[in-house]
Formats: sequence, structure tokens, C-alpha cells
Amino acid sequence: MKPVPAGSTRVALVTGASRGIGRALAEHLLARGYEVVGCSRGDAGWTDDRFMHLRADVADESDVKSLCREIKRRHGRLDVVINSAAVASMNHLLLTPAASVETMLRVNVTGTFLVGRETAKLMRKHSYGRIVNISSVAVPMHLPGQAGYVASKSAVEGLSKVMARELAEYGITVNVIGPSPTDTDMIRGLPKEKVEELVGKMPVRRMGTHADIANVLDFFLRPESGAVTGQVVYLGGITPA
Amino acid sequence: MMKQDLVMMMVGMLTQALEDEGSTEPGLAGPDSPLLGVDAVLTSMGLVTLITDVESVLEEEHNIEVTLVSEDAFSRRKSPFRTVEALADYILEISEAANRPAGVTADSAGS
Repeated sequence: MKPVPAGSTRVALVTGASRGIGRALAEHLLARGYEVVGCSRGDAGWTDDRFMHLRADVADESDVKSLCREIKRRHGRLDVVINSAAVASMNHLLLTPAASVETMLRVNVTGTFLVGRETAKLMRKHSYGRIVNISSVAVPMHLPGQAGYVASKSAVEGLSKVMARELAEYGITVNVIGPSPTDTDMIRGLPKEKVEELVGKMPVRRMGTHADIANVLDFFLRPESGAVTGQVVYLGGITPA
Repeated sequence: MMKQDLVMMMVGMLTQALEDEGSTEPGLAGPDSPLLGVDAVLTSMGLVTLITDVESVLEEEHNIEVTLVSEDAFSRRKSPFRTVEALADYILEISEAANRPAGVTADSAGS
């Protein structure tokens, strides 16, 4: 693998960068010296000298192609991709609208697929890349009330493992972080007692933090982690099902 | 871009791909070189890389934006990926269709 040439600034794309985990990881990468391109369907709502935000729907093929074209035009390279854009909906299976599941599959799975495919085309030219997809402990915990979300994140994990195998020869690693419940808008939308009940079932009985996620991210992004690919790391002490 | 130029460009890229794969006869690449099937001159990964490279070169050097891999391409009775020349025909077809005003079909455009 060819790491970033000396003197070059590393460039990262973070989807869903306007808030939550995406924003936190974008800010973390800025603090690490990256040039960061963020995207979300609306405005970013925050700025930084080395942060460029573009409006894009990750599940729209032409949007994703335009996004990658702009990254290539402005930066000429891409080193890191974090697929953080996601939607979630909590409902009993019997009360879950099909449209809700379709939206989650579209954004969480198709979005991760499209961004992964198009950014890999950019990264393979340098024979180096790091793709980190975001899943959830909801997958191994088989959380009731999250059938559609768990289905979509399970798909993200499977997709990531195949991507890891297919992109390995281009020097691109693909890994997954499964955060424990973290204080984001997504979690704030859930009943407080449900979140407390969930945290109480975890070996590490506290809410997850953005720093927990960034810690694993840093490991995946290290140049020395070139042999680490196709892995899923859950937080909070949860192990694979 | 003329078909002849497109074929020549892709033959050059195929030659390079064959060299990259360690072929002993990369000079045999031509418009009729089979890209699919048991006689395919490239490995499956070699073909993936060639298609991606063709897309990239068309966009970067010729300002032609095409998506070669699509449901349309895969569902055709005769695969557009079967030879270099067939792929050139397909590229010209979809790039012309993309530039054609909405509602104008290939037949009506030619009549």
C-alpha cells in the first residue's frame, strides 16, 4: 500500500456530517489535520476553514457521482470515507410501515453501497484508502422495535465484508464500527426508559461517546492498519451474535 | 468522439491491462478481443479494472460521463462487454442517448 505522500494533506469524506456521529467524526478528523468534505441532504449548519459541505442524497446515484467529481476536482484525491449518513425508526414490527423500512434500506444500505463504490474508484488510483461504515450494537443485540433498522445495518455489515474482499487488492480497507447508544438526535428521539433499559443490558453500563467511536476510527485509519479489513468492532462490551 | 478513436483508445488500455496481468502476448489486443466468456483475454478482476478505467478516462480526458455498468447493460441479450468493439458501440449509444433531448428516440432522431 502507498500511504499519503509526504507533504500532502489527507482528504476525508464524511456522509451525514451535519449532525450526530457524522459531525463529531468530521470535527475529529479536522482536529487530526484532514481536509474534510461533508455531505448531507440539507445545510451543514457549521463551518471550518478545512471543511467543505456539499448537499447530496447518498442514496441518489447521480448525487453521489457529482459529489465524487467535486472531490476529485477540488482535492484530486481521497483517503478516508466515513459512511455515517443513516435514518432510524423505532416501532413494533406489527406497527412498522413498509415505507419506513424502504427508507432505511435506501439510505442506510444503498447509500453506503453507492458512496463506497464511487469513492473506491477515486481511492484505487492511489492504491490506498480507508472506508469506515457505521453499524450499531442493535445488530448483535437483535433489539426489539428496530427490525427495519437492524435489517439495514446487518446489510451494511455484510456489504462491508464483501467490499473488504473486493477492494483489498486496491489497497483499500473497509471496516465497521458498531457504536453503543450515543447521545445524538437519533437516540434522543427514543423513549428515555428504552435507552436506559438498553444501556443496562450492556457490559459497559454507560452511554457511548463520540470519543469512543473516534478511538476505533483512529485505529482503522492508521497507515499500519493496512491488514485490518472486513472487521466489525462493537462498543460497550457487545460481542458479535 | 469517433468510434475508431474510441476503439483505438480501448485497445491501448486493454494492451496495458494485459501487460499488468503479465500476459506474454499483450500485443494481441484488438477490437475483437473477447472480454467475457471462456476465451476472455483478461481475468474477471482485470475486466473490472478496465471498465472502471475506461469510465474514468472518458470523463477526465474526453468530458464524456457514462455509467457503463447498469441494469440495461446487464439485461441485454448480447452483452456490451463481449468485445472491445461492442463496448465502443455501447458507449457511443448511451452517450448519444444522454445528449439527446427528452422524448426523442433513436428511430425518430434518425428519420
